[in-house]
Amino acid sequence: MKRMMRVSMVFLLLLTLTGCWDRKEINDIGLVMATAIDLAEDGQILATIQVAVPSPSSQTTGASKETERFFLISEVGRNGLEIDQKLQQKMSRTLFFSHRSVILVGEALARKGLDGILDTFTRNPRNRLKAYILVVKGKKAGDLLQVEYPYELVPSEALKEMEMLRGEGTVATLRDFMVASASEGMSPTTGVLEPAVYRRSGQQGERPLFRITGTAIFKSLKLTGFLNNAETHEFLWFKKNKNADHIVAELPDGMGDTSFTITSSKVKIRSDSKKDSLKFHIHLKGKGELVESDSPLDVSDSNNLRIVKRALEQQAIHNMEEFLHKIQKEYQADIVGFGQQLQRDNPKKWRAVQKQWDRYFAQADMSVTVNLTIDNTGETGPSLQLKDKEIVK
Amino acid sequence: MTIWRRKRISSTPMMDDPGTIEARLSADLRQNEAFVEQAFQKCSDLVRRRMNYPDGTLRQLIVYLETLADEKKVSEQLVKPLAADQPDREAVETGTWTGEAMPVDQKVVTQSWAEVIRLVLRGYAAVFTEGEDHAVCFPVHVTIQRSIQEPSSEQVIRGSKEGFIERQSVNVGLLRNYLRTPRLKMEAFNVGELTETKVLIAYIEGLADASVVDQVRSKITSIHIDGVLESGTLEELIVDDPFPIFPRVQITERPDVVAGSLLEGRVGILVDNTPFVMIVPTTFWAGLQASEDYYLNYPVATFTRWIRFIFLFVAIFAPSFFVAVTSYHQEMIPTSLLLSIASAREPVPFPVMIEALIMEIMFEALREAGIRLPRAIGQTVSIVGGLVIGQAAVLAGIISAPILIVVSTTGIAAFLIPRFTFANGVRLLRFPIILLAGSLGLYGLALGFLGILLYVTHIRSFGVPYLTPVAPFSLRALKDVWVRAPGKYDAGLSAPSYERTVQATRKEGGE
Repeated sequence: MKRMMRVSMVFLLLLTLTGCWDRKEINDIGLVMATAIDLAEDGQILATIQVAVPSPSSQTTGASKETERFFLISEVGRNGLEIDQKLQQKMSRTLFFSHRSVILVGEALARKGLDGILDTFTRNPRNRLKAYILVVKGKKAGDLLQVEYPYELVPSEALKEMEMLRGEGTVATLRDFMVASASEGMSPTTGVLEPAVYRRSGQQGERPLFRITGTAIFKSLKLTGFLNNAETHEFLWFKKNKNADHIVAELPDGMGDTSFTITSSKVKIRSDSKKDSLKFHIHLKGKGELVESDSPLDVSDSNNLRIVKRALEQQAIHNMEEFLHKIQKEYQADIVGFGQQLQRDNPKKWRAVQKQWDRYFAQADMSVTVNLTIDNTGETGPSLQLKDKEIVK
Repeated sequence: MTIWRRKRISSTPMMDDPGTIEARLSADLRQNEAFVEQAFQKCSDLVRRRMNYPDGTLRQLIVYLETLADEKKVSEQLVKPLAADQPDREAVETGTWTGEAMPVDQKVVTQSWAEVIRLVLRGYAAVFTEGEDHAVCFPVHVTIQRSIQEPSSEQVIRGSKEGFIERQSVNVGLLRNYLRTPRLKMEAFNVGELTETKVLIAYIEGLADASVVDQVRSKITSIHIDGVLESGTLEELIVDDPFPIFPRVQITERPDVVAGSLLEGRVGILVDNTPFVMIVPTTFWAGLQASEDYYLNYPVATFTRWIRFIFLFVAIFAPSFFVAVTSYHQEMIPTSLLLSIASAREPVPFPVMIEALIMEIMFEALREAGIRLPRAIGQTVSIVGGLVIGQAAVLAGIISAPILIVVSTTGIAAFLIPRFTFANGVRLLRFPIILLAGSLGLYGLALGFLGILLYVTHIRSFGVPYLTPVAPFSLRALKDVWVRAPGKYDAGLSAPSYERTVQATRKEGGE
């Protein structure tokens, strides 16, 4: 009996010492799918949230008319909490941020700086650090949330899916952004969203859409510039996201173009620091397949393949050098993390240059070497449509 | 039922008078006849046949119960030889007639009235002879039994299709067919003061743990009860737990299961008038082992065993997990799944926990209704249950479709457990855990799990910890828990495991 008492006491304690009671039915929460933050006219922050409307499926209601899948509410405020409270006043259900997968930042706000608003996305445990952060180029972020994406239930789902498509752009989650921002010798980047249009079959006019393009470069939480698509592709080498990306090269002697898909890639950065000079060696290694060869070359011949390989490597070096030039000279932002590499290789030197790393980085010498391996040339040597005598053996 | 069981014999029938019951037969046939008359007062099926001397004086009296006796046997084997040939006239007259020349075996000669009455009630015919103070009882009983059929509670695809029946003698025969060794012991007991039910303890000498046999024996001999109708009555009396959720004895209708258990060193308890045989000790894991496991290839058997393990968890925790996650931890659900659950729940007026409880209770009701009803009406129940309560409730927006999926999955999961007494325990545990999950979320679920774990590690079946061989741990015996390793009945492989663990725990002072 005494033992029973003891056991039930333990259970009683377990039952009563449970902290907060937070039962919330699914029907009592408003699922926030995405947040867009913009600069309001008076310099405050304008936040727009996209709330999903769980509509009963047509089977249960018998209704076939298209119901709203989401709605937007906006508020202006000085900081996150203030906006949050104002937004909640408009909602009959508790705002639930755990499922927010996308955070859009308007370009204007990004240029002004994110320092005033970022904390609210991370301090609350109900937030997802896995949410993607994107900068909206040339438009208010809130406007893009309004876009009805044809596929997904809510457009933020579409955004999430688009972000996850590897090799098509840079991906940055809140966590990536925070980590890059907090670490020395590295500048954070995010993906970029641009308005686009599409047409509906049988309907006149264009409807709005969005597309993912390029990369936004931040320095001390301020947007400093964008990389275009081509440069972003080079950036992917360093993001370890180069798989399924392409290199298109022109063959020498006007023999046409060739395209190469990378299946696995590796980047090695080596720093070479002398007393007054700073040099980085970048070695790119890639394996992949030839996916297109618009030339009369018979690529089943190993000599010809060598020509192709050399052309591809030349192209890769050229692309990489352009990319490096842009981030060094134009933006002076070390988004790759050369500084981190230097810190590892030569901590003493790093301490000397740390204070003015952006300047040192801009002046550092870069050398690029590339080694591509063509594993597979496809089903044929030369293109099938070519006559025998047109083929360059 | 309870009153009948608890109450000792209150009104003392005449036969319980010790003076009478220990009485001996008299040499006077008339006096004996009067005694029989009195003992079987108002028993309309009592038959008395008088065999007279040619001069009309009473010579012999045959007494039997016509409902238990085979009339043909009586007339062929008793009346005819006695009347026609009178082969033992001399013996009859000299007062030493014991029916030696009768064409019947197994006769019993007794002078005790108690014995005579007992035998008559077991289908014997008692023959009283003038001038003798003993009765000769001849077995003339007709065996009322159904044919041996496939056990309906434990069907197999591969394996014996024989099942036990209600007659113990047949059951013992079935068992002996499996184990042809004199080491198979059958200790007989009579339990129940009015039912005089025959109970047998079956074990293989040398394999069975002697202490378990002793425990069973002493528990059975110490039972005082008016009647035992089914092994369940006995189970309650020999298991010490006042609140048994999981069964401490395994019951089975299959002779091969009993034979296999005896080979493992376990003890079988056979009760007359029921096809269900009890096996002790049993463990948690035995609840998840089907007899077919040992007849199928071991990779297949291991796979099916794992399916059972998975669905054991589903059967206990699925609805509570759903309740906990949807009412406390929405962030755990993938976004698109959450959206579909939210859409389904939009018209539903109840909280998830209430919804889950309603559907679980509804399911249990349907199940219960299905068991009791004749097969023809049983179909109606499933249609009403499936269509009306399932689909219509969802369409009407009273119940959401996800909870219906969860509840029916849970229902199916419970049917995967091979031992239905074990499944009943699992079914019972579901409800408190739904309540816990509904009030405390996953924390409550974890609490419930902890509670179950504590309970299961705590209980014992005849001295053997319920989680043997996982706790206490025995690597060798694990061969038959999470996997079904080949070579189950190799000499010395599996059998002594129980014994060893029992002894080990005893040494540690566990008992």
